[in-house]
Amino acid sequence: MDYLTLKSLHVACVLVHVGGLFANALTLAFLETPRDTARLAALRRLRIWDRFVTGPAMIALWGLGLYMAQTSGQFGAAWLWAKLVLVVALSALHGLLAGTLRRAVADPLRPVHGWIGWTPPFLAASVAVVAILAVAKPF
Amino acid sequence: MSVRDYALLRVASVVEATTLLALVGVAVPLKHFWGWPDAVRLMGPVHGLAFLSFGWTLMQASAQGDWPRAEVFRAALLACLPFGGFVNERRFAAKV
Repeated sequence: MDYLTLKSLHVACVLVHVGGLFANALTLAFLETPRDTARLAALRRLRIWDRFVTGPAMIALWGLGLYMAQTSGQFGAAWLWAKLVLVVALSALHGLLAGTLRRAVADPLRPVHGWIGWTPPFLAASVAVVAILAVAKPF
Repeated sequence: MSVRDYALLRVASVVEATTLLALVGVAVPLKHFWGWPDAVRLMGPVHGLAFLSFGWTLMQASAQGDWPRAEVFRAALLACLPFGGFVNERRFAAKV
């Protein structure tokens, strides 16, 4: 597979993963307690989406990204290391959101933590910086 | 958290610890003492993915189980040390 095909697949996985991240973050940020049956059903569907679409997209984007970085010899570039720090943080955030989603389904009476409300703006800012680093490669 | 959740965390810990040992104990000496860098080129990304998988699983478990921050920090720190992942595995096994 050539570099452009790999890059296209990587970007496709990033789009699917980021879409799933925003769905999780916004749903949890605006979640009310206690949660009724309809809301719980929606949360369960979102959990399934996260497990079978958002999660695998993250694994694929990491695999493709690391492979491309290594084969293209760009591992030493400063912009790539800055991007790596941000995408590690975004992956960790995905883990936290996935766990919070599970707990929200398991315990409908328990409110989610307050910091969840900060995740949508953090996501928006991080994704914007990642896009600038990946496209403009400023340093 | 279910037994299955802990089992996943334990598997992620063992895989992370094993790939770290393979990288530090085999691939790095092969590169520096025998001039064979291919092992590091292979094991570097493999361990990177294993570490990420462990980190992701740890974050998910900590949010789901509402773990104290100190416990999450300790597990993350241990994962950075050779054999630390095996200590993590034993600690998670004791929680079940």
